[in-house]
Amino acid sequence: MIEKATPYSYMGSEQDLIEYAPVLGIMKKKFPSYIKHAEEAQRFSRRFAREEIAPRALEVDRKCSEDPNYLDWDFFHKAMEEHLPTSFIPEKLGGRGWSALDMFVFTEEGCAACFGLLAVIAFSMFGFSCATVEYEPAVVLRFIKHMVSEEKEGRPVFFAWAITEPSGGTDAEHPAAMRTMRPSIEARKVEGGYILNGTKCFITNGNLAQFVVVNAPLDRSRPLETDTTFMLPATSPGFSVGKVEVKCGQKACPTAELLFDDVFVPAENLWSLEGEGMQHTQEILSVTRGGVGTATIGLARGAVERTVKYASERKVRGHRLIDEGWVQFALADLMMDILNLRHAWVDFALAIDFYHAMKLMRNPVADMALRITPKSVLMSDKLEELAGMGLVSSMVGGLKKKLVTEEIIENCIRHGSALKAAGADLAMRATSSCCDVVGLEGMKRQYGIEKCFRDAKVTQIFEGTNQLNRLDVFEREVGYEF
Amino acid sequence: MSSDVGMGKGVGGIIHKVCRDFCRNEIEPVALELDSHYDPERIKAVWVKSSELELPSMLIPEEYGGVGQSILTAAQVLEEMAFGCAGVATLFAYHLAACVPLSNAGEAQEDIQRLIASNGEKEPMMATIAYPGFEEREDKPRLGKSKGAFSLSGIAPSVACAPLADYIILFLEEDKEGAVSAVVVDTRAEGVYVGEPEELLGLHTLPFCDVTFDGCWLAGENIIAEGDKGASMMDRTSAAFNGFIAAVAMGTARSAYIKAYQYAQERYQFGKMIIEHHEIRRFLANMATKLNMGTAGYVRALSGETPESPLPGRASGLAKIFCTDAALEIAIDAIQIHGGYGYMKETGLEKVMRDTKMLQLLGKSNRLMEIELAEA
Repeated sequence: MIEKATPYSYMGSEQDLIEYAPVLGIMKKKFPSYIKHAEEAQRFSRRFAREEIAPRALEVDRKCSEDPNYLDWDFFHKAMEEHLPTSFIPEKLGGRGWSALDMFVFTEEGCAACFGLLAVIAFSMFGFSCATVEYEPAVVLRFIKHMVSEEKEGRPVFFAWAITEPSGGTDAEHPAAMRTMRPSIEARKVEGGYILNGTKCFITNGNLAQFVVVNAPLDRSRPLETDTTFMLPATSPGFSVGKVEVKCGQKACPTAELLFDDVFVPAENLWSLEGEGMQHTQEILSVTRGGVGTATIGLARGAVERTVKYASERKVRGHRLIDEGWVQFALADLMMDILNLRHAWVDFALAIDFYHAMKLMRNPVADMALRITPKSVLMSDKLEELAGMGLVSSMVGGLKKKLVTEEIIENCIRHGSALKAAGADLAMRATSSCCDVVGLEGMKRQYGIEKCFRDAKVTQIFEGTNQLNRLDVFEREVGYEF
Repeated sequence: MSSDVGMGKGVGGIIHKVCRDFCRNEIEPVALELDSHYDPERIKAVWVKSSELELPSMLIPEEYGGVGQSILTAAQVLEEMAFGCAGVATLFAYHLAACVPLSNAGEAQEDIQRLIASNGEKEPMMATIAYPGFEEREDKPRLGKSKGAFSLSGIAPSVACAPLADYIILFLEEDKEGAVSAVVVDTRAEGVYVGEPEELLGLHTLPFCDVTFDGCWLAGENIIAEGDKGASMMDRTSAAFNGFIAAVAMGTARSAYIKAYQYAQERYQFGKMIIEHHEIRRFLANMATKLNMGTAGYVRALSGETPESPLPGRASGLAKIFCTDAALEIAIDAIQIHGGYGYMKETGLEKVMRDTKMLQLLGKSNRLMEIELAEA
């Protein structure tokens, strides 16, 4: 059967970025180049979504149904040509120099076209963000150099971030829960490093990753106190990929089981201090939950757009389906929530750029240093060596701890969790409601609406279940301590 | 852990048990595979096997070799079947709904009824229903009359079971408002072309195809009813069909509920079984409430039926809305309780979610039915 390409149209035609939220208009006056950059990112994202993501979405979904290991390499090469996997790396170093706002704009546009394909790129960035969180400058530099040079050669670098275990997903993301956990994995300290044994499951990009960031306790009976984050290359002896899951949706982005059998991790690949694995996880989640929230809104928007298109073309009782009163109210209900939650993600992106991790990049000293230092020096081994020296490393680490305080992290977890859970619930409701509007005939594969429905359910489960997200919001609102 | 209402004792209880065994032995083991790969041969095999239990002829009167059961009993059988696979149960729902106009027509449709009731002797005939005349499209099927014969031309979109069924009962709008022609078409007849199965969200065991009629001639006996009589026959058929779909929704949702209930007693988070968490208890109690209310609702809607008084159509329509909406919510919640495991194919829950979403859209979609049933 021939796959008909999905015609693609945008909700509210081509809204400008500053129409998303009034605060962006105000920001434009104060930080013109920041907003202009985001506007450019939006134009680019729309073109990329329309030309590269949307036309592939259905075919990749089908191929992955037949073979969960399938990956559209052609798509990934296109993404690399546009420097998307390295988009957050400064332009001078070979990336796109994207801010959080730029990336969130891309996330919404991309997810509206295909949630699965976007996730292949976005989740790899999450994995890498594990490195930046600790601001071990030498490690960050080493990986930036590696990613940029591999990208030049047309070889993608995938990261996977392994938290969930067969024995617990929620338990692995909440301090009080982790205290009670019986981990499926353990790290044992040996001379020069650590030995990992156990299993992780449902790991996004797990089968593709060259680098796996993994949390494991040093003592199974005290998981919270000894939880530690490690990085290991997928070539490490004893590491292997187990089952690649057959999922309901989000098929373009593989999910795999990871097996660790006496895997040696050298001490220099420790990515959090011993016993600080949970803090590390929380800090990353404080950024990524907002990103996933944005993805869910893109997903909901994609379903609504396709439904609007279908309902505008379909005739019933002498008029268009979209002219029916019940259809208008059903869609208005969804548009209303999309608009409201979009304000929340815009706000979250600004918070990341101005208060959280990206603040360091916006720091005038860092900015100046990046500007005046020649590229050859930035990419040199000497700088990496220098950055690895104890004094420099602790200076940067100290600066970062001063800039990104515990309070900021807690606040971002609160808002990010609220955004993600509300967005995921909306995505589920929106895709289901869109199916109701288009009816049985609109369920045909070629319209892409049934795919949106299949994709949506996972958003209520990953990045902390919606139940854990609610708990995270509640505890921070009320001021619970653990 | 079966429903709290409905069949429990006596004859009903025996049918219940027989169907449950059939579901466990014949449907459940193949459900996930049939969901991934449409295989008409295997679906037919389930169909033939079911005739040993006289399931296809449940609604055919005894005088023509059938079992002569009530619509309610048929619905309860479907609920049991849907526990194993909503797709297989829905295939039977379309067939049993088609038996309503056939048995209403009595002697005039004796031949087809006997073919359906050929229990165990040879492969029983399968029928289905379609309402293509009510779609707003230029190529909708029309019935023309010339020289004492009837010509049928046009396209009936998304006809359920079309490639498997031997007969399609078509309800066609007549020019006079409110008048309906009910016709029976042999799918092997000249001028009937069944298209390729469509790729849809769920109910993959049940093929939906466009059926094109071009140069298809019908004899007088193919016209089951016309005018007001045809309209009331369509209403009775829809009332039965809606009740059936409500029952199917409850059956498949119950399978999801039971899985979630069991899993909640196995899984630990926060150091205790998740069934001890209030939020999970709320989920489970809500699911059970919807199951009990939904089951009671469709049983009540179908209990009003007697051979003399037609089915109360509004009640079964409302039951279909409630039961299919509730079933989707139950499926979504059952996946949520399972976390990541629920999203993976092998647990079978994502199939229930896809299937129940489809059930909401069968016949008329729920949101459209709400518009129609607002007035009594």
